[in-house]
Order: sequence, then structure tokens, then C-alpha cells
Amino acid sequence: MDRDLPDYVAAYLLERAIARLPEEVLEVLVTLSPEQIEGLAKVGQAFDEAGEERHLVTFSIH
Amino acid sequence: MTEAPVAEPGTSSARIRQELAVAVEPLTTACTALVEDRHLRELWPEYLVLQHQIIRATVPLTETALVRARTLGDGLRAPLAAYLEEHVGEELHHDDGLLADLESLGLPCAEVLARMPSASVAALVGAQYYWIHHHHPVAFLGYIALMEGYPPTPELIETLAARTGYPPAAFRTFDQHAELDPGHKDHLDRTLDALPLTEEHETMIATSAAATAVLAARAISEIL
Repeated sequence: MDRDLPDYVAAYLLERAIARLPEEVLEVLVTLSPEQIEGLAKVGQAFDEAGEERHLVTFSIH
Repeated sequence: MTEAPVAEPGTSSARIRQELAVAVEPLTTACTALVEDRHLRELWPEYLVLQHQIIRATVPLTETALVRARTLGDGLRAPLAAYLEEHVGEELHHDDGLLADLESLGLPCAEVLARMPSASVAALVGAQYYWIHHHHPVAFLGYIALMEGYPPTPELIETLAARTGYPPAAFRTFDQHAELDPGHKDHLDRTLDALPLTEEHETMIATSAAATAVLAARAISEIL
């Protein structure tokens, strides 16, 4: 991410350990207010606490 | 979506599958990134080309391992050769199936075959030739264990079809492997448990499997 982000957006990405985001998503994030980002962080935290995980897949054919 | 292979505890196959469960992580990361990629529709034909480049080497590799196994002077000679001989039959013409799937996506066979495989594909397959020729052909069982140990599930194929929008004809080889590979995996596990494997042999198999996971992951990552 080679662009200037509002501090509260950068802090959110850091806290959620998000290193790579599609540009389109970033465009939306920078339009959000600090309060909206705070709400988004709460939703993410709730997902974490609910035990939702990324769906990992492994497959190979031979 | 993908069940980890299970083997009887305390057996060679169980110990090797346990090693695989850790070693497979790079492949899991690469496969997940592929399936989650928002350009999956464009990437899928590239992935199938890559798989074809890998799979077209399976029968020649197995035949090479078979020839070497027949020259062994240890107790693995006869049972390993017997397994490899059967394995050749299990793998025949799978590469042709992938070419047909690619044809259904608009990629002619000649175009697929004209592409030079990447250095990662050469390293993935080439490592096996090296170990077969210059160390011990039993190492090749690690390659098979990894490659056949994680067959696509029907649920995964449904997800792939939904996310790419491609018709069932594009997933015929995946369907076929979802059906066949669990049986092939069981065949390999029975073989691993029946072979007179030493700790050193098991290490060779696990090392080969781990290298396979890393190199297959690298090859996938390069198309993302």
C-alpha cells in the first residue's frame, strides 16, 4: 500500500493484520469516518470471538 | 472442505501422513489464495495448464522409478517395483483428460503444449528424477503421497464451478480425481505399511513430500 491513509484507517489495518487489500476496498475504507471504522473493527472482533476462520483448502491432482 | 488423510496409528503410513500434515502448509496457502482470488475465472485455465505440465510427467516419472527399483539390492526391490508397476496403470492418460478440459475452455491442445513449463515445474518434477536416479527411488513415494493425498472434494468442485462460472466439462478431470484418488491414497498407504521401510526410508519419503509441497505451492503462486 503506497498511499497516504488516514491514521485511524492505518491503525485499523494494522490491528487487523491486513497487509494486502484490493485497491477497490481501500477506496471504500478511506471514505469511512473514524466512528464507522470503529464499528467495522467491532464487527471483525465479533467474528473473531465467534470463532469464524478463513476457509483453508488444499487440493492436488496426480 | 478438505479432509486430512487418516492412517492407522503407529504405522509407516501414519507417521508419514503426520509429517505431511505439517509439510503441506505452503500448498494449503497457495490453494486457498487461488480459490479466493477475485480473478479466479481468468486464473483457472492457467492453473489447469500448470497441472497438465506437472501431470504429463507422472507416468514417465513412475516408469523411471520402476526401472530403478528393479535394480535395488535391498528388500524394497520386489514390493516397490510391484507397487510402481500398478501405479503406472492408475495414472495412464490423466494428462489427456486435462487437455480435453482445457479444450472446453477454448485452449487448444497445441497452444497448451507449446508453453514452456516454469522453472518451478521443472524443479518439482526434476527433484524426483534426481532422487530416483542418484539416491533411492523410494523417495518418489513422498511425491505420490502429497499429490494424491489431497484430492479435490465434490464441495470444492461445486465452489470452483460457482466462482468461475465454467461448465461441468471444465471440471471433468477434477471430478475424476475426486472419485479415484482416495482409492489410490489407500493403495499407497497399504503399500507403505507393507514395505520393509527403515527410518531412513521414511525420512526420504517425508523429505520428498515436503519438497513437493513447497515446489507445487511455488508453481501455483507464480500464476496468481
